[in-house]
Amino acid sequence: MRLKKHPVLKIQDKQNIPFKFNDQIYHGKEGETIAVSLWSEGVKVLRKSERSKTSRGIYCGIGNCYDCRVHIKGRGLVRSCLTPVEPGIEVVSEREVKKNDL
Amino acid sequence: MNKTCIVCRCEEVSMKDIEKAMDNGMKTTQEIKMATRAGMGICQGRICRSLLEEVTHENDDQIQEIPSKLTIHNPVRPVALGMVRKGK
Amino acid sequence: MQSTANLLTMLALDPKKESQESAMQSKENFDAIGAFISKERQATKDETVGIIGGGIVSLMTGFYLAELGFKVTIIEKQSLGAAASGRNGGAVMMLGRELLEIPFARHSINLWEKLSEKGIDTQFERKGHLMVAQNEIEKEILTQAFYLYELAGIPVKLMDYDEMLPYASCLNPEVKLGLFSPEDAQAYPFTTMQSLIKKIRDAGSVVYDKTAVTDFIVEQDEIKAIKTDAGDMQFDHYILATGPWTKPLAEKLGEKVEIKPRRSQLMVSEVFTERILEPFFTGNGFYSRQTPYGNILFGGGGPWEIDGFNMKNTNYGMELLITRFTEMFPEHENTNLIRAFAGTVEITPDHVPAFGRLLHYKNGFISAGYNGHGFGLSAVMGKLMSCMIYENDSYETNEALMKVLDPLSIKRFRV
Repeated sequence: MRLKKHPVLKIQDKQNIPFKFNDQIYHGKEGETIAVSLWSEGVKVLRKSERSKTSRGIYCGIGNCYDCRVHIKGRGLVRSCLTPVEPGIEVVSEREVKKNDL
Repeated sequence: MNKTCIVCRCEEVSMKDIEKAMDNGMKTTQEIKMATRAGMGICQGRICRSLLEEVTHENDDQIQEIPSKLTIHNPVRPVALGMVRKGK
Repeated sequence: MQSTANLLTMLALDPKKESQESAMQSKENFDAIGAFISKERQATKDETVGIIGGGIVSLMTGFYLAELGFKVTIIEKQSLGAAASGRNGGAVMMLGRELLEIPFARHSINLWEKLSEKGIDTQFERKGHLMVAQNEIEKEILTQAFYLYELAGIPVKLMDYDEMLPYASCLNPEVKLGLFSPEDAQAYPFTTMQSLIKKIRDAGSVVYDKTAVTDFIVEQDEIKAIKTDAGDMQFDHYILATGPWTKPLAEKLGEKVEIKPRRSQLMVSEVFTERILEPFFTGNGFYSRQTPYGNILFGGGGPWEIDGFNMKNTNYGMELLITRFTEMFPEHENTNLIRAFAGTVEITPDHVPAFGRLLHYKNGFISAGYNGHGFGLSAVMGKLMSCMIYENDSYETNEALMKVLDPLSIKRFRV
C-alpha cells in the first residue's frame, strides 16, 4: 500500500520496476529497496527461519540485523532493506543449491 | 517473563536456552555463546550482544571501557568468498 | 589448483615411513586396546581423582572415571571447554592419521557413538571422511596410503569423480581421485561438553572454573596436594590434562614434557539449510565439514602459523584458506564468510601424545599433546585413563597394553 496523497509532500511519479520474488512478479518504484517494494504490495514475509521455519521480514530496517536477508539469483545474499530494486532481478527467500544425492 | 522469547534472532536462541546454560555454570557472554550459539549467527551478535551482556551483568561496573567478553574478528560484516580469494 | 605440489596436509601418514610391519602392529594394538577397555569393571572405586584442566580431554576422562565410581574433581583455570575443545573442526576420525594413532582413533569413534545412549548430546554423525587428490603426485601418495590403511584393518575405498560427487555436490571436476573412509565421523563440541559437564556434576563430581592450579605439594614419589586459587586440594590420583599449558605445569613437578602451543585458523560460512557436504572433507591444504547447524566450517594449518597463544586471524591466512576452499568448490563464489576465528593446537615434536603415568610421581598421570586431534581422541583417551587408574597397581604388567602405551610415555622426552 502506498500513499497516493499527502497534505504537504508532493507524491512523485516514479517509474515501475518489475521484478520477481519467489517466482512471482511484483512491481516496485525506482529508488525503493526490495523490502519496501514487497511491503507496498502486501508481502511482509521475506523468508522462513532456518531452524523453526517461522516467518521473518524486516526487523531493524537499517541493514544491521540481517533478518531481511534474501538472495538475488546470480548475485548472492543481500539485505533487502538496503538493496534497491532493479528491473528483472530474481529474488528468492532460499537460494538454490546443488544438493547431495545420497 | 515469557522464557520462550527469542534473544538471539539469527540462531533462534530463547531466554530458556540461555537460562539452561547458566544453570549449567556458564557465566560470561562468551561461555553462553559457546553453550547456546547465541551470537554465532549471521549478524554476529549485533542484536543480541547487548541482551547477553544485560543477562550476565558483565558490564554493570564499567562504562564501556572494557567491551564484552565476546571476541571480535574479521570479517566485520559477511563477505562473499569470491571477494577474498586470490585471483579475483 | 596445484598441479605439482603435495597439499595433502591432513594426511599425516607418510607412506615412505610406514610399512607392512607398522600396519600389522596397528591391527594388534587395536585388539589390545579393545580387550583392555571392554573388560567388565564394577563401579566400586571410591578413590578421588583431581583433573587439572577443563577441556574435552578432562571432561571425557572425568566422565569415564565417574562411571567407575571414582570421585572426580576438575579444576579449570578459565572457562570449561573454551580453548581447542571449542575451536576445532569437529572431526572424530581416523583417515589421515599415522598408523600409530589409528587403533586409538578407531576405538574413539566407536566410543563417541555410544555416548548418546548415555545421555551425552554429541550430535555424532558417522558420515565418513573423503580425502581428495588433485594431481598425479597426490594421487600416487593417496593410493599408497589406501593400501597401508587397508593392511591396518580399516575399511577404506578409492573413488573416482562420479563416485565422490554425491557426497560433495560442488566438487571441482578436476579432482580425479578420492580416498573414502566410511567409519569416520563428526560431532559437535559445545552440546557434547555441556552434557558432559552436567553429567559429571550430577554424578557428584565437583567442577571448578576460573580456578588456577599454582603449585604442587609433594613428598618423595607422591603428590600430596595441589595449591589452587580455591585453596589446597588433596586427591588419591592426579591427572594433568592441560593441553598447550602443560609444559610449565609439568616442570613444577620436575617432569619434562615437550608440548608447545601453535595457532590454527578456522572460517565459518553462512548457513545452508540443505546438506551440501556430507562427509568430513580434506584436500588442497584444508579440512572442512558442514556442521549440524548448516554452516560450512573450514580451516587448516601451515607455515604461516605462529607458535604461542595468539588467536587473531590474519589476512594472509584467511585469503589462503578461502582461495584453497573456492578452488575445490568453485560454485561457492557468492557464499558468504560470516566469521573467522582461531584456536591453539598443542604440538609435540613427534606428533605423538603425552600419555600415561608421570615418571617421578606414582599417583600422577598426564593426558595431553594431541596435536590437533584431541577432540576426536578424547573419548578413547578418557576411557583408557579411567581403566588404567582403576587397575592402577597392575595395568603395567599387561604386555599387550604396554606395547600400545609405551610410545606415548613421557620418558621419551628425557634427554
